[in-house]
Amino acid sequence: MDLQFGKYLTFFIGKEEYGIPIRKVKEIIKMMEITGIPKTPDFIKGVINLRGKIIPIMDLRLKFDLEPIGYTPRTCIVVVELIMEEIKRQFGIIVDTVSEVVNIQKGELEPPPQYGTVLDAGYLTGMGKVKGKVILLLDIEKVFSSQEMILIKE
Amino acid sequence: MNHGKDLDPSESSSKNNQYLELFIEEMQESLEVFEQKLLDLEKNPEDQDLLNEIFRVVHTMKGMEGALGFTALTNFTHEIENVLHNLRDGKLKIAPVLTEVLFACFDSLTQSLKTITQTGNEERSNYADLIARLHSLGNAEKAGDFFVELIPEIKKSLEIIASELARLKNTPENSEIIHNLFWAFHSMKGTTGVFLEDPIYRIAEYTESMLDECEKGNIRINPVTINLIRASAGFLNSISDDLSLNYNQDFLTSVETHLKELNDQKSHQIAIRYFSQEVGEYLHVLEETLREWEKDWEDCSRKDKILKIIQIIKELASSLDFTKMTNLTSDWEDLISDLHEQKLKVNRKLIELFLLERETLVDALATIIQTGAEGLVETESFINKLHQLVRERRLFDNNHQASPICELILFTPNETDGELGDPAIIFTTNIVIEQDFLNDFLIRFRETGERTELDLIQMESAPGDPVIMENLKRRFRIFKRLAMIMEQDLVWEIAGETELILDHLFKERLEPAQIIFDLVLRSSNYLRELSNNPSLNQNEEFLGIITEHLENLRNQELLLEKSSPEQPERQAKKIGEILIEQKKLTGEELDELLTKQKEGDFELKLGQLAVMEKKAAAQDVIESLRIQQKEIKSQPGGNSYIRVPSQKIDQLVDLMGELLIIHSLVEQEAGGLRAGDSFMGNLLRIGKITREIQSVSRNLQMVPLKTTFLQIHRVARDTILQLNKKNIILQMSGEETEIDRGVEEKILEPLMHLVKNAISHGIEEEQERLVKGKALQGLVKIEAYSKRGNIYIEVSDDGCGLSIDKIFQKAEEQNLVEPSVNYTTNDIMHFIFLPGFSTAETVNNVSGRGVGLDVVKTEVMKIGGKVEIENRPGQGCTFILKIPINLAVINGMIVDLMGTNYILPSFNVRQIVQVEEKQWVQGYGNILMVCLREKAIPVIPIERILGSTQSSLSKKNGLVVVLEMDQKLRALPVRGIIGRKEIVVKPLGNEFSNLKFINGATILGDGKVSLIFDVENLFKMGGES
Repeated sequence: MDLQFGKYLTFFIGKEEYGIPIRKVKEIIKMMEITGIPKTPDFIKGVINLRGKIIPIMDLRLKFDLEPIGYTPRTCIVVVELIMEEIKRQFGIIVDTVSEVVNIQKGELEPPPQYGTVLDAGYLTGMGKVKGKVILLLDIEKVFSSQEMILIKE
Repeated sequence: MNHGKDLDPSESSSKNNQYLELFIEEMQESLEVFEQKLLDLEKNPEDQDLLNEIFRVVHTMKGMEGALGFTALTNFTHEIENVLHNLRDGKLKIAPVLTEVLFACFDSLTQSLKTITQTGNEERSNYADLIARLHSLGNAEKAGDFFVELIPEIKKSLEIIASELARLKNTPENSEIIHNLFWAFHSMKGTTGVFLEDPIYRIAEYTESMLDECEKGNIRINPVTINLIRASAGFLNSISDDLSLNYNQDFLTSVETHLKELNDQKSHQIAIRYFSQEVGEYLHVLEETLREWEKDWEDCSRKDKILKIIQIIKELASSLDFTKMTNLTSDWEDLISDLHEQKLKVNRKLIELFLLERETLVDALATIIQTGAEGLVETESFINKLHQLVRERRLFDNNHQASPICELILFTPNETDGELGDPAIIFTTNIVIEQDFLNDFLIRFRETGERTELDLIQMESAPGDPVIMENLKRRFRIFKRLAMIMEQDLVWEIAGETELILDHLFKERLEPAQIIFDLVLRSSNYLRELSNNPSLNQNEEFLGIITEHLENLRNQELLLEKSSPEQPERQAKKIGEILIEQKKLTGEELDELLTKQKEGDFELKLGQLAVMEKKAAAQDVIESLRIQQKEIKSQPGGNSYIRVPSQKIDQLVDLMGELLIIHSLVEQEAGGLRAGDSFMGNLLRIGKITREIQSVSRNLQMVPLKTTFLQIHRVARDTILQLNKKNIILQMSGEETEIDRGVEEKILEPLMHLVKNAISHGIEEEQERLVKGKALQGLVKIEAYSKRGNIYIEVSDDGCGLSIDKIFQKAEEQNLVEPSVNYTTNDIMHFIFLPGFSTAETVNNVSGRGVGLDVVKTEVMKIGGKVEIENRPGQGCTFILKIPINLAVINGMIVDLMGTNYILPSFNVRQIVQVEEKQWVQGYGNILMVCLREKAIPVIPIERILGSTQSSLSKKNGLVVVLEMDQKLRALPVRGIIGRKEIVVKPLGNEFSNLKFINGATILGDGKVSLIFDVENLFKMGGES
């Protein structure tokens, strides 16, 4: 697992605040038109053209089986750059709203919960406690791992 | 001077007008001086006199302002004076930030004076900000207190540092990175350099100073230095995130430790540089001396010189605390002392050992230079043991020569529990040795093998680099010496011959040709095999291979010797050939001359020899030489080709793609303009040129299949030899076919596999062919051609073909067959593409090791290609690889399908037809076919394929695109045709690889993404119903 402490970009899905390591975040863009791809799970919204690069977009809300809500002006696409199978790739995730950048120290980290959560704890690398709130640290590689994505709808 | 306009009469009466005028004049002069001196000070921050002058001027201004009762101004000036005072006392240091503040003060003063000039009164409110800044500047202790607003700037520098550090990891030799790093720290130093005791400033300063040495070349970038820079960046990151750390004593202590480490390492690393230079020279002398000694080993006069050099190296190493190197040399010293005291006698092997030791030192030194610290010298124990054995007179002792052949059985450790497993390796040598010593030797042996491979890989990427070549040569020399000591003749021979070839290349400064490179690679492979399994030196088969290999090596060597003196340019024709062409010499005569040249005086050129031997007239030879010169000149010389990193070409092609997209955007926007407009004309011209550049840049990526074919040829030859199937002829055609460079790299492996398969499994043994009434000679054919945007490469053999029964049987055995399914022949054939499937009855060295055709298939699919089989039972079979010429650009038709735009590759589009209602053919309630000119064409059930609930076709006014693929036609109902375009294909990524009907995506003129259909799979998926 990664070195977990350090800076995280946090964002909201509903009332839950999630964090991903800031160094993996390439940029944050506002919602734009997404070209849908047939026969993919609902949470795969499709692909967009980001300055000549075609990148897949995932709706995290749908990925986590939450009620879909319409997109608002605060809805953003967080573009992350990950190294998947030794290739640098970019992906976008749709989040309700981007919150802030927090610095999570070593002592403020806890392992992911083992049971009792709605969300499959397998998508978390841990939890950070900052400023009296809990931030769910997302295992973003896992979210985009091919096993997760290949779930083609039959 | 204009100051009468808005003068308030009451104010002007209270202050004497004459004084005011004088004040303004004086102030102006003072401010001028202030500005000038500040500018000077910026250039010479250390100049104390300048500082004094500024201080005086400011002091004078304060006095004047006070005298006229401008209190606010006086206070403000007082604060400036204070800061200047601190500067004079050395409490503060001039830095860009500080001068910025002073310039701001100057501006403010000038502004105030302007106001006074205009109104006669001072402004009261404007100084608060600046005073606060000046004030905190006077009181602050750490940069962090004062320069909170500069933190973003520091962070920016840190970002640069982080990214450069990341780059540095891959390319440590890149001076640009070091320069950037230097500047990042330098600018940080400048940003914070007001407070000398500030941690940020000091870390930046120390790191900058080390980087400065790196830039000057006194320090090498190595893991040690990189770690130090990284640590500096880490500290700076922490501070810039949390300024309170400036007062955290623990933190400050660790900063101090780090700074000390930086300083120590700086001098240590500089010392290493001089150390390595010096030791390098000594090692060079050592080698020369040892080599002389080797030739004349009975003469012991050289041992004193050697002893002296070793002692110097020992001293140097111990002065820098390189303990391992010190130990090594100290041991060696003892050994030579024994020689001195006549306890030992010199023999050849002992000198061989010395040479080996020298190589170990060279390796150790290389590690130090590369990593900045003494690395693991794994061979230490081996050398130590050798020393011990020699000193105990158990090894290399002249009295010991008659020792019997000793066989040692080595046990391979069981990987799981670490216990000894089966006896596996038998090692034979004439010297009596101990088990663990042998282990040490094998470790050393293997390690040399690994290093050789690394060097070889390096050589491939930089052929002809003398440093790498020299390294490589050394490796084989080490092999040779090891072999000599341990009496391993086979290793000795292989290493010796390979070294000779490399030596030759090195002297002639030639780039190794592919064939030689392969030979060297194979030498390395054989040596590795031997090191893993020394018992191979008893294995008849292996010995046979080695003998042949040695022969190849020797032949190449002869060729090199023959050609190199004659060949100023590698591609130029040889003088002998020209002489034959000119009918001045016959082939036999040439051969004769060449043998003579080889036997006789090497200094003579072939031409000279020819004249001497009276085979050719001097006139003819000179003429031929002229022809040769002319040819050399007319050849495309070295400077008409440049090497371009493939990355740059990729980038160019990518950018061209984007340029095209933007161009079409502009074109759309300009659509309203009249066609005759000059703007439109120019736009069209830009479009034309852009497309031309695009096709040129696309061509840059194309390479002929020639190199691939050469490599395959080589593999095929090796396979034939290995299997001793000498009855096979290999035919190749179409090597001029061009293919995308990216594709080329990827098809090599699959092709090699197919060719190996054809040779080992396809072609029958001679006997069998005789029985079947086939020609004795088997034929393996590789054929490449391009057709309709694809490259086809066929690998065929006239062997036994695929046995459908056998495959089916095997598939049943492996539980791959579903009983309910009725398999066609084609289906069964495709079983062989499943992982782990192999019908080969005997597993041999060449194929049948588990990796099979499944790899071929996946590799080809990865690049968007396909594999097809044409089976002729009993007569052979053909594997057809169909590969796109390039992955980048196709001509596409944009269609509107259920409201979404999709792309169809234009070469699949046969026609577009407007269909009337009566033309549809219905079945099971669905549209199945469409009748066009009395021909029923199946309709692709696109809704089902795309999983859509909408219907794509309207019966009235239906529009269909008729698609063609492999002579089959299918109709695709669409809502509309948008247009035709050159499109840049971009891959969608692995996540979507399951979506067979999509080939990729592209960005259209409006910036939106559209998916590209894979027509072949559309056909297939439609056919499933």
